[in-house]
Amino acid sequence: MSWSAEQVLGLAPDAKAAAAGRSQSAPARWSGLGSDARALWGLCQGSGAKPYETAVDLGEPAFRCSCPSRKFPCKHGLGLMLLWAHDAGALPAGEPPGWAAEWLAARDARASAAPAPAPRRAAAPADPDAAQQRARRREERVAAGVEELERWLADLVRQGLAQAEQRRRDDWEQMAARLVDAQAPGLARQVRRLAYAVGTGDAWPERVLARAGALHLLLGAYRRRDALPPPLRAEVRTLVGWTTPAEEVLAGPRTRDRWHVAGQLTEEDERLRTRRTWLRGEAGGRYALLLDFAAGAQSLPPAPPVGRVVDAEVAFYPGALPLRALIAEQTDLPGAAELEGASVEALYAERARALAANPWLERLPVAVAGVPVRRDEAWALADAHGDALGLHRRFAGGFELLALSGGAPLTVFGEWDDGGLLPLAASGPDGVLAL
Amino acid sequence: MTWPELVTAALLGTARREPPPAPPALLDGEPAATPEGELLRQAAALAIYRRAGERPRRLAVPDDRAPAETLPAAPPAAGEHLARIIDGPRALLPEWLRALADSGRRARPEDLPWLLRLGANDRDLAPLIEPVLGERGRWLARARAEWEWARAGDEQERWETGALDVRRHLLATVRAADPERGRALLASTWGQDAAREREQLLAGLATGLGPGDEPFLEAALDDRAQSVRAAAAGLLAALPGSALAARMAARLRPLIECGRRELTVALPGPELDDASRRDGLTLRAPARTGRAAWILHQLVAAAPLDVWTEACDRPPAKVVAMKVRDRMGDALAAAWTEAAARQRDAAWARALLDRGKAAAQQLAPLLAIVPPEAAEAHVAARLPRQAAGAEPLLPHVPPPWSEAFTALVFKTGLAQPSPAAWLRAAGRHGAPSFAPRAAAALERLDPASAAARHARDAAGLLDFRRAMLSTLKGTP
Repeated sequence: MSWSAEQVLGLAPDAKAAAAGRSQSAPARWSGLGSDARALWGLCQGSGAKPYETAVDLGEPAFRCSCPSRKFPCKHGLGLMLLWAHDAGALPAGEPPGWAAEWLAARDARASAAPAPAPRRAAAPADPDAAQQRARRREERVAAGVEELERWLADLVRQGLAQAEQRRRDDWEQMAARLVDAQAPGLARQVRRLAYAVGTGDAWPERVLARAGALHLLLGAYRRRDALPPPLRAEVRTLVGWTTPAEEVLAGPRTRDRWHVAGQLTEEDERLRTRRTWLRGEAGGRYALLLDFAAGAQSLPPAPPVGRVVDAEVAFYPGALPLRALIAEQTDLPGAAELEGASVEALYAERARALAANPWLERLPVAVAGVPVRRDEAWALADAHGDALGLHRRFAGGFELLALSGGAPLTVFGEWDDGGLLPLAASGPDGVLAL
Repeated sequence: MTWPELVTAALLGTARREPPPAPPALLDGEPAATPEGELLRQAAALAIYRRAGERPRRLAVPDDRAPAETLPAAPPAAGEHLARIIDGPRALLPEWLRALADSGRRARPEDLPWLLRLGANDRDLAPLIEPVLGERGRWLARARAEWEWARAGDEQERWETGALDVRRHLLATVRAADPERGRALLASTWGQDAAREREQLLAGLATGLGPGDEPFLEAALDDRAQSVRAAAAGLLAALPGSALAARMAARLRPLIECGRRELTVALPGPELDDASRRDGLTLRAPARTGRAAWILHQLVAAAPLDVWTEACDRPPAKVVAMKVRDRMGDALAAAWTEAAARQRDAAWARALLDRGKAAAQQLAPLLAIVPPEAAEAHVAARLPRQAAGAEPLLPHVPPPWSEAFTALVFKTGLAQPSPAAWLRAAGRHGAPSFAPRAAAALERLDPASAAARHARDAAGLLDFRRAMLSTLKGTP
């Protein structure tokens, strides 16, 4: 498998680390470079007397470096991989040196020891009764959590949202924490979202009321879940916090297509990095969302970079409007991704349909063809009919879009939510360009 | 209940106000048992209803398209190089911009906002950025007031309405292409411009300065503002054929007495007449310099250098080597150096460089005037014995350096107690073709030494520049 520079940089824990990795990718920094089919290795001269021993296991990928950095992967690991991505010939084929061979062997030993329990659990639970009991206990806990949240929401509305502004942040956080304890992490997240909206921006009461209403609807739907059609039931369960195991998703139906990587976004909070990669099926016109997470200093798993096309079988998680998916099998294809933009009117209609299927929909992947227009410091994309789609305040690349467009319509892919369209990619002169 | 009514009810709380019944057409099903439940039930339905029913805003699209490009765009690899320069070695930006312009290509559209921002903040880079903006970049510049400097449009109009910065930039660009037209631009508003503007804009004539500028500059010697008069005098002194230069020569000649072996220069009187003042001479001597010595310095720096070669009937190298009475040799050389830099006189520059014996700072401007190999030879001749004195000259040796000179600087640097400046100069200005040899030299160094650390940086820079320049080599 070959890696592009942007794929490698995608592994960096943050932008600073990516820049530091770039700085280490000059061949002159390295000695003892080598590679084989599985791994890369090299010695990087740092500020100390002894050079750092850096190795990359390309399989996962996994990194090893003797430097004291607590970033993971460190700049040396990234630099080594970047160097290889730029010019594989700089790392001549050979046998790994002792320290690298030792590390790889240790990884093999761990790998053969570790995964044994996993297939067993998936195939047949050791004790079906115990598993059932565990599931029942969770159902009970979640039910108790749902009940408590209903009372709490009712309290909120009884006392009035004006009072809510004076509530301490702790109140919200405690409710969220109790929901985590009740094994309903999805509900906990919804409560936190509600808390963020209170007092933020003008017209916040409208947003808070809309979110509180949606949460109320979700709780009611969860109570009646057995009466719901299966896709909606799956959606509701996911929103409450149940997860569908990956092997179950992969065992379900798969969609094969040429998938164009339309956009990618990594979001960070203090605990977790979340990366969303959006694919568009060439034949089916359907969007698929790959979600990856990394906690703390962990590195995100590789994902196909924006602008690529992959031939893949994709399995969707169940839901009312299935978007989240897993890639079952993939091969990189030559050729550049393309975006297909719709009119703004068509997107509004599509969003109405999507909301009818999933009233809790947070964001919708869309591609729009329009001209970037700036009015009162805010950007919008206006299509050929004069309909406009406002861009998100978070988006800082308005002038870049204008530069790419030259005043002519261009196709922009992004995530559309309450705040507007957050552009992630645009059609450029040489294919899709990540923004 | 309508949405605004619902929001009001929710703000106040149902403890204070009962929600009225829901609009029946929208919500079927049983009303909730409690007022809170009913309010949330209605809010959920109405919020989704409103969101799903939202209509797009109408926005008039201005019919404003960028003109078609006349130059091809930089290849994607050049964009990647720019991204790396932005993250790291910013000092390489001028070289990247020049190489791109020389290759007859323009920057990629996605890089234009960054370049326009940079040009607005950095006057030195603006002239390098302008040629790679392309039609798209000049068109984009109209989108922000700060980018006015790069706008396309009628030259005269931009000159008359632009901010001082924009006008300076415009004048520099026009002068580089057509000095006559630039001067005409300057003259067209000269009567209305304020003193500060006149002073700063007049300096723009330094680009493409020629005999054609003399009448305008001569008139500026009678300007109301002293700073403008001084600027005009400075420019006229750079034109050895100007009337001002001739007047300076006339003042200087009687003071020179050139013997067979010795050069004698008499000090002028310590006062200035009006004509001298008009020609820009001042009495504001720097510290520890007498008035008369200061006047002499100004005369020598402003008079044509031919005065000396004629008076002594010797070529510059011989004049410079003469013994000067009263130990005035170094003071005289300093003034000659100023004159040579001003008049861009290669023969004098070379002679003064060969004379040496002056601070590097003083000699540095001369390196840009002599042929490149002479500049390199001058610095090389000081190595390795006078390395400390030669080091400040390195950044002034005009690029591209020869590979031999790069190797010499690299090698000398490795032997210095503090190799940083040497190796940095070798990496930034040296011949990129030296990269493999630098990498080979690294192998022989103790990897933990300071020299190896700086040498590694230098080799990395050379390597990067080699890739950067080969991407942009030749015509597309």
